[in-house]
Amino acid sequence: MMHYKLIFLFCSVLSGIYCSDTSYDSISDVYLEHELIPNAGFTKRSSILVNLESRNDVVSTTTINDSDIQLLKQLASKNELYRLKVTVRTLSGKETRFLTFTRACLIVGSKLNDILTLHLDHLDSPFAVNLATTSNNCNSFNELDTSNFTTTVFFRRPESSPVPDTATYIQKMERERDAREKGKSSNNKSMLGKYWMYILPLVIFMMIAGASNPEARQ
Amino acid sequence: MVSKLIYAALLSSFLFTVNGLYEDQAGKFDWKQDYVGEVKFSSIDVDVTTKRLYVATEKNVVASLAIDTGDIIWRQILEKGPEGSVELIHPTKSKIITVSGVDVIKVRGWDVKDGYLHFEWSTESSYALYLFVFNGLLHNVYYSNNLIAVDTYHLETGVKGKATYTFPAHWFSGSDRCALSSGSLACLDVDGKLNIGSLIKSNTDRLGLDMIGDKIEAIPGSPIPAFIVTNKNVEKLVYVKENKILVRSSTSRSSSFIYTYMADRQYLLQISSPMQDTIVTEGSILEDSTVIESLSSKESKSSLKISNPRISSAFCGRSKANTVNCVALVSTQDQSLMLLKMPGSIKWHREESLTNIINVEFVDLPVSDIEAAIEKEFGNKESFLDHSVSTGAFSMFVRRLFSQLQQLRTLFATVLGIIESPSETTGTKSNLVRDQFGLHKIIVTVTSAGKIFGIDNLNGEILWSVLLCGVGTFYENRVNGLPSAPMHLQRNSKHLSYSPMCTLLLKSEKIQFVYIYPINGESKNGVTQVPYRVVQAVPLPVLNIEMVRSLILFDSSNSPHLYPADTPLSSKPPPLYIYIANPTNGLLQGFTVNVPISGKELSAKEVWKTQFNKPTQIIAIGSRDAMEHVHSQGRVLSDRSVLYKYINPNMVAILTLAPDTTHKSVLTLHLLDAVSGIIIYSVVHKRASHPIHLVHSENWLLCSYYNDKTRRTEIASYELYDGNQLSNSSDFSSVGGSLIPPIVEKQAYILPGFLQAMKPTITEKGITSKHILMATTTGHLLEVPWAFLDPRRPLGEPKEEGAIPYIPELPMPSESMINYNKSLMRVDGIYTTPSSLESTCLVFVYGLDLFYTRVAPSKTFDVLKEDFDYLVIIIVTHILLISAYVTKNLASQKALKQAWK
Repeated sequence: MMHYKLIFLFCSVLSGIYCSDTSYDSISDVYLEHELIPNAGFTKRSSILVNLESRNDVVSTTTINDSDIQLLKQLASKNELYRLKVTVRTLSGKETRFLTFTRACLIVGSKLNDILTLHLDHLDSPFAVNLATTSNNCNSFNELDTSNFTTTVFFRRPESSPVPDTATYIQKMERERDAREKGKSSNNKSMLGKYWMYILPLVIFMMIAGASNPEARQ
Repeated sequence: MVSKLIYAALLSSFLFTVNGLYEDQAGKFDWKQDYVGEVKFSSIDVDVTTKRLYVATEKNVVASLAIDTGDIIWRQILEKGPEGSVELIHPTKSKIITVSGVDVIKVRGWDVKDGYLHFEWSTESSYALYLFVFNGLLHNVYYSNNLIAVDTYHLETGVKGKATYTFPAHWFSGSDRCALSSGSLACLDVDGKLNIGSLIKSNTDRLGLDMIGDKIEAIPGSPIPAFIVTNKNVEKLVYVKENKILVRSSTSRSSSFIYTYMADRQYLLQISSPMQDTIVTEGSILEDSTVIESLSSKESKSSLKISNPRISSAFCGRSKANTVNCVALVSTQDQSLMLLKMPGSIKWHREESLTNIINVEFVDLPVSDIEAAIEKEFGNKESFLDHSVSTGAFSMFVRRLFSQLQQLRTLFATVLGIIESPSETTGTKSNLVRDQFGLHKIIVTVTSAGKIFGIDNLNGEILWSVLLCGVGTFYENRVNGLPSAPMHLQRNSKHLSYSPMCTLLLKSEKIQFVYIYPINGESKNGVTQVPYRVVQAVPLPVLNIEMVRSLILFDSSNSPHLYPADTPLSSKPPPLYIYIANPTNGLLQGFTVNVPISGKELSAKEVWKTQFNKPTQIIAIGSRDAMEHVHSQGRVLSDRSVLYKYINPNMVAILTLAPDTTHKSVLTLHLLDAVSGIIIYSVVHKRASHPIHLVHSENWLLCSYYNDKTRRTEIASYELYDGNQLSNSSDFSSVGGSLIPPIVEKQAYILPGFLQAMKPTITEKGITSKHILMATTTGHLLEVPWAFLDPRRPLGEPKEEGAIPYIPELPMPSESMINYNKSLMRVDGIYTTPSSLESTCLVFVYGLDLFYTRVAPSKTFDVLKEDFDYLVIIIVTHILLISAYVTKNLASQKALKQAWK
């Protein structure tokens, strides 16, 4: 009987692991397309391979051609928005498309260094992608000397919610109670014994005051 | 010891912020109105000693009303939702018996006098088709194995009756083509035959009649089996008398009711409302269609707004003049309830649709004519009013002369008694003018019955009502299926030359708008149609030249439109960012919209897109109140440094709920910058389930949910800080802003109760501290200072001055229940709005009851107390003045004497 139970338990644990494995669909790569002429459509920028297992941020460098650099500079000089279409693919081939943007001058101003933040939900599947640049410089877009896009991909997972901290509170209450009891045991003199130095002058003062005008008493 | 003393001092200092109410203040600033909801069943008790009405409503309420006034005598609230839905009421001599519930039927007997519960029993009945009472037995009709079975129970004890009757049911054609009236089931079969069989005795006799019909309905109140059969808009009245089926033609578009008078005589009462302001009644004898003159009347009144009236119950009697008189309880499509006296008039009427409020707006009243004239005369630029007058020297002089002439004229007129009060001309009600402190406003409410009300906030009087009949339907919230009515106050009362304007968005084949002038409820050129389907409506930051705050409407193909379309704007708006959320598929999209000053040729561009994974649903989006101001930019810590608040005006909180295999359901709170699409923060609450409430204000958020694991309501509190330096000190921009996330402080609290609604107070300048108003299921309205929900409440040593030590459970002191002994049941929402007094916030709670009050979270520091001693101040100042004068004289005399020496 016991054996059966154990086997059953083992099986259920195994199936649990198996279950979580099938529902776990890891991200395999991120495909980036950008828009260099307003409303003209997206062109390919790069594709970044991602491994969620290693739990590291990914840095990738891609070179874009000179004509695209010129278009990017034009976009920056007109103070347009730089839009980036991000397609996240998983191992099972599921694709999710996101869109994000920043000001084009920031892309040029930060010398093509950008940061992509992939937001993952509690099941590790992505729900949002945000684009940012490493600097907030929006003036020096003529000094662009590189044609390499350096992209850092960060992953962010949600935090877990706070829980009412009853344990610490109870501990604190117990500590206070202990302190009170300790205080009581060491200092269990009567009130008169503790505060005689305040009470005695008061009594003397009142006696003197009473004695000085005996008419008031009558 | 010292720390304990400090704690005691701190705790006692917070005792003062709790606002109690003195006994004589009850009802001074607040009012409560009780309602019962849309009437489902009713019965009239004309016993001279009681004279009452008993009603059971769609809101699962059983109540007794006084026949003469319509006031509620007692009210009992049953379970929420289908478990408590009343299926049947049966009045007896001393009790009113209700049958409620769907799968488990609960039979309860209530005392007619005071509504106390006499008995209760329940039984399981999963497939009940019909329930009816005959001969003191509750009959439960259900369908099984091609048989119609009837179980009987003794009504008061629940003892099961003799046996289950069964009837062969080959003629039973489904509950939608059958109707039950007075223990007889009538079914229309496919061959065009009407079968009527009695379910009371176990006989298999049935009556048949050749009749084609689309729809069959039972006539309410009838003691004999009587039905209305509709065939292609032709209505026929079918009834059974002495085992014979009789047919009578019926006037369509009117609702029927059969009343038995003197055992064997039946009267047919009919009521209709061909127009909104008229009500037509007809009475006739059922058998021979003889019209009874005394019951037929036609009444029209301009203040009436009636659509599709229906007699719910009636009582007839013989008057002294030997004619028949009836009283009928009439309910209408717009959920109002009235007592009609036939012949005669409406004795009272109740607006029960106010139990289904779906949107509320407080509208400021316009200034009085005199004040408007003064404002115009002086052309004060700093005034809050917009008077649109030129400020040239000559024109001002002319205007001044003119207005003084007018003042002189009104003075003469008042003296001579021609005009009673100069402010009479503003509207129909002379007192509807703005007061000094902005405490007097109009509550505009939209109800799901399609009726809009304007309510005076000081006394709760209904000033006007508009019935949206056949205009369009409401939008539907796709997550919870409830109707929603987006309403925008497009022009407020500050513009003297224009009247305020509210716009309500309704759906029909083409989207529609309804304008309402919220002061008097008029809707001139009321309805506009646009030829596209609106998915989002956002007000512009600038006004157009007619002082209307235009709306940007996104249609289903995500292209923007301006509304009103043909009016240019007063100035060019900055580039706008608008987001659209689809709650069911979890798609969020952000757009930038360029609006030219002409208001034509708008262009939109999608700039960000976020996609939540299926089956995640967006259940709530919390944005800060547009009227809210944050006065203090930071918090002073104990080391004298400042912790700056993270105040991002574009931040919205998004709550998503996803079912989960291990945690049942997962509630995630995302903080999103709606301009840049950046997710600022996300946090997961596992095993959290409904009821969920979200509050977002200043730099903090509260999220309350039911924790399935610990089986209690918890409130998670989040607060966002920038750190010791202000990151965006000069101008805030979300686009290309910093990626450095704010510091998030978080803490959770236990609420010993269940929440129905939660809302923060709001004041004009944001100086007053914030309190959270919480409506609990026990009927209390709690006012909890935000300091109690502060995530920075210290567990150890206090980090800053005035911080209360952390206690996991929130206190619910009875002093902070601002509705004192007036319990508020089934609260749907709380609306808060600032008044012109910084200290005071106006609160309106809606649900089954309406409650209005005003709260002063930091006490009324800007007004004198009610019991302020004016006399003492006057006496003291006078004595001071006199003594100053006297001593001055004395001093001068002395100086004179000194000079002579």
